[in-house]
Amino acid sequence: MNKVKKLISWNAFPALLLFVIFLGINGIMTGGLSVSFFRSFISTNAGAICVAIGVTATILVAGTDISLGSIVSLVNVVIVTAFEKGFSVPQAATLGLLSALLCGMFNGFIVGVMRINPLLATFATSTAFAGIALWILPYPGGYIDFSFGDWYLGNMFGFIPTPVILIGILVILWILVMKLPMGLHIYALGKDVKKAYASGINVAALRFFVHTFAGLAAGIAGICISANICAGSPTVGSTMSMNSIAAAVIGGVSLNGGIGGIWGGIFGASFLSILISIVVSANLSSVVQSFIQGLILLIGVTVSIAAADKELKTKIKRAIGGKR
Amino acid sequence: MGLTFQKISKKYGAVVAIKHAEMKIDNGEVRAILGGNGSGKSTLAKVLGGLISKDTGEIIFDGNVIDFKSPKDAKKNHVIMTSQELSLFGNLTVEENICICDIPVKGVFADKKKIKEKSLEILKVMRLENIASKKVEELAPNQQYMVELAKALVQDPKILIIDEITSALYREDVEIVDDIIKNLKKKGCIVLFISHRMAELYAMCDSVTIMKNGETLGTYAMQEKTESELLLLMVGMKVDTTRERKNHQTESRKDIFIKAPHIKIPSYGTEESLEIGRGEIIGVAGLQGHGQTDLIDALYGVFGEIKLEMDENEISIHNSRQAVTRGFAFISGDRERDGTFQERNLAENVAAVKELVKHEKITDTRAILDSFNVKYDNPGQLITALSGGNQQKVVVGRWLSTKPKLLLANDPTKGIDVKARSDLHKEFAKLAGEGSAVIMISSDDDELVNVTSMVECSRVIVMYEGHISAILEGASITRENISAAAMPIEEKTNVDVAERGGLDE
Amino acid sequence: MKILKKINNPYLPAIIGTIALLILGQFLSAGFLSMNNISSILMTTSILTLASIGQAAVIISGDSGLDMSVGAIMSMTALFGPMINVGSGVLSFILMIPATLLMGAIVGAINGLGVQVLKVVPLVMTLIMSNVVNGFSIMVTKGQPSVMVGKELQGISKTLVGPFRILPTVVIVVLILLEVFFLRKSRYGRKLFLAGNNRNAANLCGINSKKVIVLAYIFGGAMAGFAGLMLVGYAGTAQMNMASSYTMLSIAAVVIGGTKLTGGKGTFIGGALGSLVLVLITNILQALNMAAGLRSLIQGIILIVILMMNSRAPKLRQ
Repeated sequence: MNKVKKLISWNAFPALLLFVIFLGINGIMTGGLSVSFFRSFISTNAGAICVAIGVTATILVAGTDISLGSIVSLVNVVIVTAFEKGFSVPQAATLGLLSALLCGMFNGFIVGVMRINPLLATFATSTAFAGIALWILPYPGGYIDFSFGDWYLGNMFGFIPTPVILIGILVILWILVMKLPMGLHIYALGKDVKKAYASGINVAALRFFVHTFAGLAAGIAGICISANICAGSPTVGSTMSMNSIAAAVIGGVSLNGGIGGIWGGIFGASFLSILISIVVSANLSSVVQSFIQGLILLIGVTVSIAAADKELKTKIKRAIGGKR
Repeated sequence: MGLTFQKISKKYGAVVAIKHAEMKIDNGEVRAILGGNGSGKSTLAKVLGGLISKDTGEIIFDGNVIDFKSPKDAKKNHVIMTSQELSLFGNLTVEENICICDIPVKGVFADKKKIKEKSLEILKVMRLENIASKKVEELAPNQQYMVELAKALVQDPKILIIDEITSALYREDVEIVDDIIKNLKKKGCIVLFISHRMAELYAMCDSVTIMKNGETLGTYAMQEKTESELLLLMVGMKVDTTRERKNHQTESRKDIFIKAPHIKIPSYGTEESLEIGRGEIIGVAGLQGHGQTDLIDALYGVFGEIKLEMDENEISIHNSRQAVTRGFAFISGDRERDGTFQERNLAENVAAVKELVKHEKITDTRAILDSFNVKYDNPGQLITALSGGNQQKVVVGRWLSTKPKLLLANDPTKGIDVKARSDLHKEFAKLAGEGSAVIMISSDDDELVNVTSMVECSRVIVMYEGHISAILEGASITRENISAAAMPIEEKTNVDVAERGGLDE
Repeated sequence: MKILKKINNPYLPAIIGTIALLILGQFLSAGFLSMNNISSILMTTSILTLASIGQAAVIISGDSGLDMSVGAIMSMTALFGPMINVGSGVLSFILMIPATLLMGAIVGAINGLGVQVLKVVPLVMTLIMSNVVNGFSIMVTKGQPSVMVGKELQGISKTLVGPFRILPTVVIVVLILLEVFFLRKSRYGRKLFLAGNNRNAANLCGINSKKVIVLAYIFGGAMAGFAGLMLVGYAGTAQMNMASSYTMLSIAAVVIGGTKLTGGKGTFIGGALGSLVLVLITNILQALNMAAGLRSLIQGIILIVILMMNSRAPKLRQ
């Protein structure tokens, strides 16, 4: 009984519930949920989930990162170009991942060490990263060996799909971080910078870390997406930054920092992904789709924020109590 | 050996915060630092705690020069600073908060068992074991204060700095704190106490250093000086203290003009009623968080509609705007949150109500500022350029220039110095003298006793758990009666409860 | 000394930036300071200025106020504005102005209500609205806009008033009028500063902060709507998402102009100066015939440098 209560009051619960419900709806619409549906769902959306994990980490310390989408594009472009220049697929992927890490560290440097507002800072770096991607590969094109796609769509350790492993790496890494003293420090910093500083917490280092982690997450997302499409596009990640923030909010992560966790980001992103696939499969004309997606996003975010609003809750309680 | 400050100075831009501060404290000594606003006492404490850097001077502790680069650095050397505004994280549990500065580890990971043990050990001393796994935001203010102290103690302080206790402690808590500090003394720990509460300082401290305008004026044994002597040193001039007040008028005829039969106290789900007379000052007392704030917030329409009878008309107030148009005014002690517009200048701060809400033209901002004794250069300067007390005077000027009929004040003199405090009291009394009414909450019982003695017609109501537990009038307004009524369970028999009739539900 | 003090104001970085960029521009490409180029720089600057005025009002409204839907609103009104056709070209043009203002205001109203009533963080609320608005534009135009921009609308960028074209002249007048009579003198403008600076205190003073802030979003949306119409008049043709870059440009312009993102403080004129700096940067990079990617990289780097000079948070240890 207690466990049920705990589950329901969990920040990420509404997103999980929504995900399950819409998964069911999708199942009804497409005639049953099959293993192959899950496989294709996870391989298409692993990138979005990874970016949501990354952005959640930055939001937890009361920051944000809107450059992750550009980093994803950059990783894609780097992998394609490196492969075409004669590097092997693993080498190209490593190069992509490294460039993402570098981008993340750069973000961390300007936000943490230079103390620039994370929104503005990552907007500026986002312009720069997107510029580099466009500079390297001005037009969509290029290809990657299909062995990359086969690896991605296949299994690891016999039965676990590769995208799940890739997401799993991020999750395990984050769980380990949470077990370090740093885990508590991250939540403390998210609540109040000044208090965190007065408590002897290294604010700059923590901010540097979360942005680096976010960069890593974007790097893995870039690998996922590149492997899934096996082609290059300098703008492939452009819509991901904002969707990932929306995902985190739907997942119960407070934009004021200090509340929520990466599971919120994961479920929020999964919910948004399933929603998009429902809209696509609903046979709506393509020109209506983006409007409807936007509307659903709007409703999802406002409802999840209203649901977490304590003031509103007490107001409702008071209104009910007053009538008695 | 002890701790020595030598010629410490600190400037913020052109503003001098401390100037050649000097002080020597022995091991095992509990030292109070006393001073008005802007006297530099908090700055000095923050320099020692590593929160801010000093410009010149040296701090010597046990023969070594110390100069901390960060709070972390200070903590490593067991110099611990605790202050209410800079301590606890509401989203973490009590045990996490207590250990956050030095989280015990097993290998590289945080050791949850050890965190629990370590914090329980200290919470046991405070008789608060049961709150260990609660989130801090769920605690009562006095419990938060104890947790804050626990967080400092767990770091094994050699120098402990306690900055500004603002929440009132229960009587049992005071004893516990007293015990803890005695224990620290035995270990040779130096305790620096920064507070405005004289009673606490006399109870706990050995000696006192007076600061004024960033300078240390002198150090005295606590018993050596009386309260008014200390105040005289601090302010540099004579101030009306409680000892020199007039006697309360015993019997007075009230001219009731506002009746509030249903005042909701949401924190406790209770309801109270109040009748307010012209020219009356009503003091509201009680331990912190017993519904005093709710009482005046409700009157101001903060919790939604409230029905009142004003000058024999039924009126209802839904929000602050309607309250303002009805001639209510609201002054809060939490200046930064509820009072000042820190990015705006004095003129804009003064005009906020009269011009923008009441749509009356202000012709001369200077005249208003002058009439409230604000020290300023010109009305175009930012309000943050003034000292705390002067900022509050600007806020008071904003409201009193609208000639309110009812002034609601929530601890309006919190954290401002004695001189500014007595200036404000005079303004309130003047307002009441002009036929308006004042309802004023204070966490300082002496202040209420003092203010209510300044007018002919006054009362002190004491609140406990969302109810008015006593109404004191005339000669029965004394500090003893107020504090007795604030904790009615133990000493109800001693309370001189005057005219309680008709107010029970 | 007094002069130094006067110069040391929030506009300083923008003014220095402008002068430096003008010199650099002339140095790098000979025709840079020609009347023709300056006049075209002023055209683009005035469009960005209109957007930045709206953005500034929203930023001043505080509570981390930000309007990320500026680009989407501009794109929308650029598509729909010119569609108004009541026969007479002049009358159509006159109708377009209130129509685009209204379209923008409606989106702004939804933004404001979302932020103030539903308490969605401004960044998220306006980002999502920008998605909705873009989706709406695609839905209505079926993804294939065919916009005929009338003579009168195009005229705003062609007709000359003295040495200047008509739009910059109008914008400068509007800018000064809004700055002085709307932002500084009007009761509303003063309430906006107070509500943006300290909402709690403003409420206790009897100011209806919610209303004041929602109105700021409406104003911001309306200005963006108008800016979109001017943009399409200048460009001569409309495309989907043609103004998407204006969101971040308008924020950057306001920040470069010395307005802090914390709210309660700021000017419209600063935003105009910031716009000029940004347009100059783009213009120089274009004049150098740089690849689009490299241009965006350099823009990003310049922005980072400006932020480092202009918007660093104070040190935690003082």
